[in-house]
Amino acid sequence: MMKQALDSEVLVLVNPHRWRDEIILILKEQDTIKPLKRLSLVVPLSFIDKKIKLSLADFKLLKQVRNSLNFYNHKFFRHRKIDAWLVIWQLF
Amino acid sequence: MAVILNKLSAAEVSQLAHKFGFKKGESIRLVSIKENQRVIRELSGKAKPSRIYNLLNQLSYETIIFYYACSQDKKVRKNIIYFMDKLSHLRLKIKGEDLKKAGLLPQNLYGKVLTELLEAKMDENIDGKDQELKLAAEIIDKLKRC
Repeated sequence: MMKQALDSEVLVLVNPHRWRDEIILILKEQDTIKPLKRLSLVVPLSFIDKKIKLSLADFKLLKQVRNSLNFYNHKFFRHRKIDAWLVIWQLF
Repeated sequence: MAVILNKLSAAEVSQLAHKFGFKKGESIRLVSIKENQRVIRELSGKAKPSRIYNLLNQLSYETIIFYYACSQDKKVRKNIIYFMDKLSHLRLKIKGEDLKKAGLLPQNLYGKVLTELLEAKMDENIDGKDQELKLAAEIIDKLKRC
């Protein structure tokens, strides 16, 4: 469906704020890698910005980010809760 | 870090954040990672605790965790953990009010004195209100001479 939508170029009609909310929901998932991998296979992430393409190195880094977030939540649970999606967004 | 450097610049991230309607705070945190990459370089060398504090205290935890994740350098990671564990919640036992009570003048130096005192507390082994007051008096003397 996503691919069809992309082919028919209707994605440009989607409000950027709606995109943001959808991406944030994906980045908030416990396992971010799978949905992001799937999304980047189906829809080029260039709809965010044309420079953005996720490579294998990015996914490796994403895994490291996930591990670091788990480490933070485990070791520093008394500190402020951090916005995990914001950390992952920084990959872009 | 090369992966990140090759992508969007700080200005592009800022534009993107605007386009997608991010909140101001979110936008600032997103841009800060691009603008503070020198922090990683500095943390990989030998740095005093007060330097580590000054480098990291200005950054959001999101940025710090991202730097932690990106860096494979043991020294950088160790410094980040040291900051989170020990330095981030280190506070002075005295306040401006205590300096005033002790009759230390001039009052317009209190902000600077307390900042220097906190840095000294990180780098040297200073503990207790009395030691802090004694050192505060020394710092005021030094600042008055400058």
